[in-house]
Amino acid sequence: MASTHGNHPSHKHDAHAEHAHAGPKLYWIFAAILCVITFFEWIIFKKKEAFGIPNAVMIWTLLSLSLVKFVMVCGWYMHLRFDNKMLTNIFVFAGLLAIAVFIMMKLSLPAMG
Amino acid sequence: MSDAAHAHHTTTGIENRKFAMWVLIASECFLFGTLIANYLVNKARSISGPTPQEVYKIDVTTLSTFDLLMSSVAMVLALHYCKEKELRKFQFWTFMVVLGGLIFLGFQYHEFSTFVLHDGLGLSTNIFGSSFYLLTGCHGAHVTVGVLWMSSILITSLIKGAEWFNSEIVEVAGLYWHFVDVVWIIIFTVVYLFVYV
Repeated sequence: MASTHGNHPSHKHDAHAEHAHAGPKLYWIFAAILCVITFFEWIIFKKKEAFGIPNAVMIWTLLSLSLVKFVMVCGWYMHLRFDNKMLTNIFVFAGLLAIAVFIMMKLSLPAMG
Repeated sequence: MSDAAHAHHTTTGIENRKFAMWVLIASECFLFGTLIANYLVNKARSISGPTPQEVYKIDVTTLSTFDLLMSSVAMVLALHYCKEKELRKFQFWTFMVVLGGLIFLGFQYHEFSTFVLHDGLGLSTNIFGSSFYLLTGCHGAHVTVGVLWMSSILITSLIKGAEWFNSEIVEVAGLYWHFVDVVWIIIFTVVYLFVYV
């Protein structure tokens, strides 16, 4: 892995793409969006009964909002969106394994539900 | 050491330390996936209290979530100014990352001490307490490591000044910090907000 093989054009392209798309202004916009989403999550939790939100709707809404935050931090703050796709594949594979662990644990203890 | 001294290419096209950090993050996904699964499977199986509904203070946890999200912004700004070689701004935002991490740990200390002293929820009180402290304690330990790492980067930059600009090291530390933030995003939702589910 450490051996050298000359220039990688994709590297230069990635660096250029990152420079073109990300900067302090974008990071602050994302920060504001992340805060607004977290505020919405808190509101949904606090006003669940007042609004009469069913449990299933609340679960999927909160999971969706959480996923948006997850993608924003991984994609832009961690630069996965601009980086080598191999890194995304490693991360996604690990995430899928983690979900598989949860499903196996849940299925392995059916009697206690 | 400057960036130029570190510039090299690899067979993967990814800098070695960065690749290693992503492999570490992948293994950490597995670790936290297991701990979260353990918590979700066991949280409602306690034969005695206190229960999650009785002890969680969502308002305080929401504030600590805001804090960690803002520290992630500080981290990405620190990396940006490191690449731009703006020393003072880089040091300021690195300090803000450390401060954000310390505030988060303060929130966690407050939460844990309230649970133990006020609510009577210890590590071995019931299976909810065990799985909760294992998960959030492990996350807190990761935040502590991140704070120490960022502090060492800040101190090194303060000592060496403008001679020290190593964006590869800052980027790898940043990846770790953002991952800790991402894990908390999941914990905040599935552990705290799903308390009545």
